[in-house]
Amino acid sequence: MKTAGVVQGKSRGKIGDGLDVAARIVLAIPGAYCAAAACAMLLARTLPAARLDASLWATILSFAIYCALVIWIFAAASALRAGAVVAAIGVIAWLGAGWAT
Amino acid sequence: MKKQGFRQSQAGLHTWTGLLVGWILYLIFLNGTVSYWREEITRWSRPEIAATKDLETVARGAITHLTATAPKAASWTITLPEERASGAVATWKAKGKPAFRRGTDPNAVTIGPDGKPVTVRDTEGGNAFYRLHFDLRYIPVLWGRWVVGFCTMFMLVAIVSGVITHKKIFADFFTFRPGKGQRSWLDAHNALAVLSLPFHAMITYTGLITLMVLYMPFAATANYPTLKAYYADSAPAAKPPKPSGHAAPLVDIGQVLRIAETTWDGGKPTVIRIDNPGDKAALITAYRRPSETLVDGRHEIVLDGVTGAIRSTAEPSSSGMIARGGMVGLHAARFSPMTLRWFFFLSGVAGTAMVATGLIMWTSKRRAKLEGRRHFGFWLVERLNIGTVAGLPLAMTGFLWANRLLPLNLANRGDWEVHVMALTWLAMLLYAFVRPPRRAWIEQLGLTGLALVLLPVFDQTATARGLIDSLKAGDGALVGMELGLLGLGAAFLVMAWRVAKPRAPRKTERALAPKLAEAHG
Repeated sequence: MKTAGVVQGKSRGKIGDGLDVAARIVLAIPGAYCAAAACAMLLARTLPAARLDASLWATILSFAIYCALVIWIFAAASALRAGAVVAAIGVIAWLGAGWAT
Repeated sequence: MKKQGFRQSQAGLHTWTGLLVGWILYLIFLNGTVSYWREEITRWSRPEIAATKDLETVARGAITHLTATAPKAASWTITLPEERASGAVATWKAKGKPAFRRGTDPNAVTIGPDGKPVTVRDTEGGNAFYRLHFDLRYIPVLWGRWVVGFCTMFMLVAIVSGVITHKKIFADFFTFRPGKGQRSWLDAHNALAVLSLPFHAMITYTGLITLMVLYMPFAATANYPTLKAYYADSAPAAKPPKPSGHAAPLVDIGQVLRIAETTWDGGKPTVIRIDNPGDKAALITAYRRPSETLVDGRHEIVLDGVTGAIRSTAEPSSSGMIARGGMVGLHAARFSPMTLRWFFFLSGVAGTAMVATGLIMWTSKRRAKLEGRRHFGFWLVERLNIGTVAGLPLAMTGFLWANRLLPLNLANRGDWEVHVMALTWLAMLLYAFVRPPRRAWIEQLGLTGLALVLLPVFDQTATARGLIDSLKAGDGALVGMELGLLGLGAAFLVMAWRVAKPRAPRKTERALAPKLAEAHG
């Protein structure tokens, strides 16, 4: 049985492959969710609309952001790079949302 | 990783996310699809009550009943039948008591087309499938919604990664190679997915939007101190006025219906709530039928309960409310006229079949490679596929049979209909593990088909609302239900027959076999 496509590189062993997938799953499910939540907060506070509309639009868009992040996490060259970028997006959005209050 | 490329990474993601949530997605798709006929199924489930277009008689009947039984209530609520539904529900709330939330409302009485209370069997009808679609069952509602949301998010990722995987997506659409085992499953999966791709993308995304603040509350809390404050802003609930203590007659309910019709350009209310009935400070709120607007949300008129003067009107009007409401409206299709409703339904069928073929493909792809060797994961997936893909429709048909066969005076009868569905599914899952797979497929598909086609037969012989009766009465919804059950049953019987039919491999297939083995080796 083949393992997930993300880990079919030649360089890693079986355990390395497993770790890589596990890392990406953790990144994708709670990690990207947190980053998407931070982006939603940033959008809610910065979209040029009344606060109710800004909240609604930000929530509506957050699922597209989440989806794009997950897809990208599984396509990234390494779990480490994926982690760094997702964390950066999350932190920047979070700080931006705090600044925009 | 680099060598393998973006598309391959998406193929792996698609296969594994698809399998992980496939069975629950199948349940969600199947129940969501039949929920396009929620009102029709509910009508079918309650043969005691006929449909009516005469809202005024029903509304008057409800007022007469409420005046007699609860003259001193804090509020009355009358739910009028939608165009496709039957029967009104009249209920009331005592002073100082919280509004009724879940389960069986002890104050609720069903009002028939003649305006008189009727006894209908205790059943959830189409609501059973509707609620199963997003609440699941036997677990707390919020957990159910989170599980469904999680699977929906997987679905969204699977759709996007699926599109990326199939770079020849439009060529795939015209490719169907029947009778070639795994190839055929792949072609069917692709064709079904591409054919209704716009629907799938829409239904998945809007599905998330229906419960979006539950799943992603942070944009709301970013701008409001609490979620409660957000909800108060997005759906402001007018505080019911204090009763004055002076009695005054209620405005005529027929007049309320006419005011609504004038205000809404011919529209009709679905719910009428009357606060402080019989008091000088009576207040009437009428909510518009969801079938009359695409945008989900509160379309309301507030009237003085004594004079009938319009106090205020409201409807979703800001961009965010319209965007949310429009997406939710598209998802539930309450607005949808019949022709479009059929397209929604058929797209839902295609989606259900897409999930089913995807699940089956997972096993057919691996069966060849295993060459008869035992493998725990394969065994588990293969059996769960049978018990779900064929077993769940049988369980849902079991619900319909329970609706017809359970004694009318059984305590908690409505719950038992659902228990019958759950127990049938459980039995089918177990059954799939003890029979040889091919036999299990044939038997479960065949049983589902039989159970479906026999329902109209039972209705014709044992009830007063069989196909012929409904044809004579010109009742399109019930005729549609009976014919639909026959059609679905026939489809399942054909599927059972197709699995059962021994088939010699065709020439092309034999010639192709080594090539295919190579391609998928």
